[in-house]
Amino acid sequence: MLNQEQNVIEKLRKKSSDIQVPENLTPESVQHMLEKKGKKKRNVRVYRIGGVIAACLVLVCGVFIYKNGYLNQKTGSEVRKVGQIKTADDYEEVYECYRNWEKELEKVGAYGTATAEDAAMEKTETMADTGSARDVDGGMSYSRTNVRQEGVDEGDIVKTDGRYLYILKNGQTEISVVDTMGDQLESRQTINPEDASLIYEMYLDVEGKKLVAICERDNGRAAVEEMDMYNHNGTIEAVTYDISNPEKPEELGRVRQSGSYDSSRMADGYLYLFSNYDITDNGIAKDRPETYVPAVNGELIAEKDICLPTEQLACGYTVLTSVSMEAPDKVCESKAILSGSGQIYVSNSNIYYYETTWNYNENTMETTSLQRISYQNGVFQGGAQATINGYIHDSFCIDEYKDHLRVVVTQGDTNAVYVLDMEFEETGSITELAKDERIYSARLMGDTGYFVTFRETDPLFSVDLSDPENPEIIGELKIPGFSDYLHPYGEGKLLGIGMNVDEKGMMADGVKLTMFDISDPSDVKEEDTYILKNVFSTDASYDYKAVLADVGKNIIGFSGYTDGGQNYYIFEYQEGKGFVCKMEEEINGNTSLAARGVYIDQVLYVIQGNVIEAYSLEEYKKVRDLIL
Amino acid sequence: MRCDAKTFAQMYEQIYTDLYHFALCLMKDSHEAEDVVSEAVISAYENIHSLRKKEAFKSWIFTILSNICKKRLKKASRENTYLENMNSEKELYEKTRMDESDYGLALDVRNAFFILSEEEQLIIGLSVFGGYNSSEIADMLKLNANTVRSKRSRALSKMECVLK
Repeated sequence: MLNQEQNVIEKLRKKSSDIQVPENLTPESVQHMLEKKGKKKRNVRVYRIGGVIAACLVLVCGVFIYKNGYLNQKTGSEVRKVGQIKTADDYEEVYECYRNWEKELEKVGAYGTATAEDAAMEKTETMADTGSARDVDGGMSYSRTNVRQEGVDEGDIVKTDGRYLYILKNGQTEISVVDTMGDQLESRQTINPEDASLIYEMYLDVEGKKLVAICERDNGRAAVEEMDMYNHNGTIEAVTYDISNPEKPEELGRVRQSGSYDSSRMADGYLYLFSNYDITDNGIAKDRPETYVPAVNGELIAEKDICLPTEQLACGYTVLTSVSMEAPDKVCESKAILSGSGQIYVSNSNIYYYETTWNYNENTMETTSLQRISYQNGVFQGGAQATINGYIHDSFCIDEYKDHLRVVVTQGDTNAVYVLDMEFEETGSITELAKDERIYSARLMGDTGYFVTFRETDPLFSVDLSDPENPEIIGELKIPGFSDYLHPYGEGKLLGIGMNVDEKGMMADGVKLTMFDISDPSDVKEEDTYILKNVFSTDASYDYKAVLADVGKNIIGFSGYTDGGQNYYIFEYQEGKGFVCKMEEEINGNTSLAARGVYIDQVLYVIQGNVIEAYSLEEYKKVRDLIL
Repeated sequence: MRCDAKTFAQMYEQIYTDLYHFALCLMKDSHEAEDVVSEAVISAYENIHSLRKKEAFKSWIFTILSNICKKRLKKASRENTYLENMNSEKELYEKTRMDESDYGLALDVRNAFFILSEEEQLIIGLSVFGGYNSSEIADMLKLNANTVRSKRSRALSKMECVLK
């Protein structure tokens, strides 16, 4: 390079060198954001908008209605059915997939194309009511974890059985059992799984009187099995306790599998455990499968249980295992999905694994591969697989209903809805939706679906999905702000939690609650809104488990971040009056764990880390607290 | 490679000012710059398993960031055709001055970038803030190294006139 040119470069560098980098981009903020995101890989984009860059958004939200518009005008190229899931004949085949992936990587250099997950959210299906109340003995009701799919439970950091609170403490190595009987709030016991270096989440099987702690196993301290020697991925363990007497929990058994924790579900008395296992170049050898095949309870997953990817490329697995709560020391079945790193959506009878291949090359579109594995009473059965153009924003954008799978995808500059049968044959679609916008949130509720897209103006679309061969956009509503979480709230109502934007549509200036009147899906209305000024983000935007929403009890609870710290809000929705803020209280726990609101009868417990604060749901006054 | 948020932040710490300054020169204001850097960080973190070596982190994330900027610029140019109509330097100058407070960059640096084509902006940005040579940039932008050299040279001489 010429000297003169070098000088110009130097000049440019010098002149920019003292520009301050915004607070949100400092390594500390970024680490914090990624840690938060890491907890739940999903909905990153929303979090980014809601939290990190809350101050600079350009968003308005709306909903469209095209009657009889946009029908199947496609040639079928967007969904490519790839037949049934194939399993490996031998480990060598698996090994080749990894080597192919390496070769592919070399082709594009150390960077270039990348396989990514992104889209990892989960959703909540919605039949009329996803309310989470449940009656116990004396008519006492208590809240349950807000889940994606009714009937499929999910783990969380706080659970209750209507009397005891089970709380994952700071440091994530112990679960506290706190008695709330009468007017007390007392820690009775701690559950401290042996050989666990970390507890991620727990399950409560209230009927079976069991608690399952999902842990990362400390392989350093535990006797290391031969198989684990080659496992750089760590091992997760599900440790089950008998809590017939919650004050004297007894371990009933444990199962373990290679990999880092991905997610889990519990349905019909079975636990389904998902972990991610990366294949690393380090010391792997074709003739030593233990160097590249994950193990379950110390035994390598059999060839016939390894599902091959749609392209013969892979750099890791998602390992899935089922465990009966009747025999929590045994694994019923295991499968390993050979792939990169995808996401899962679990319906009432199928596990859908979806993985997006991102293209940073501007001319090719990202594609998402989709695989279906059915499950029933712990038994898995490989099903269809397909590839779809575009990406799935989160698990609320993929939904099974009456033997059809509906998928809402963003494809480059546009969006589409596909309806597939269980063999992934496309039965209907709507394409070319909302050009230049992308999906922000979705809720597919039986025969009708709703989704919010985003750019400068954000419509909330209503889709008639009652005829799988003929999905139709039937409604559109345009409103300022946007919802990034949608929750059915009783007959004809849909609750949206998101952000408001100022009149110029330039800045997100507060968390916004919206109640949509969806009694006529072709004419959705904004029935009421409530804006929490100066609340710059809420966990609800990216973690649905942080939402407490119960229409039976008429309670909407979530935490929000303000300049002064984090607050917990409780709302009621009154016909005619709209949203009524019943409570706004500071959250005092100081921890990396997210806050949760849980109620038992007439008491709300706001829990963050080791701090529990109890509020009366009659006076909305603090009645008790406890520091664990 | 496997990487947690902490490791990621450590690698990021080495280069984040460069990333931000790079974005600032390409995007229209500091908000956009912040936005694209965040997006690059998230993409990079999600795809970290496809990165083979720690050493490649910098050029890898710069590539991701360049692609995001490219996409945004392309979109912006489709939307804001009015910008193309602002041919005269005077208008450009005034437009620039208007939102300087939002921008953070010295006015002359900003103007110097304004007169470049998108591709030139990327090449100069990567030279100045990434410290990359022409063949590295050629790799990142999938161009021929000779093309990069001649474009860089032309861009720099244009910029020289504007820089104070």
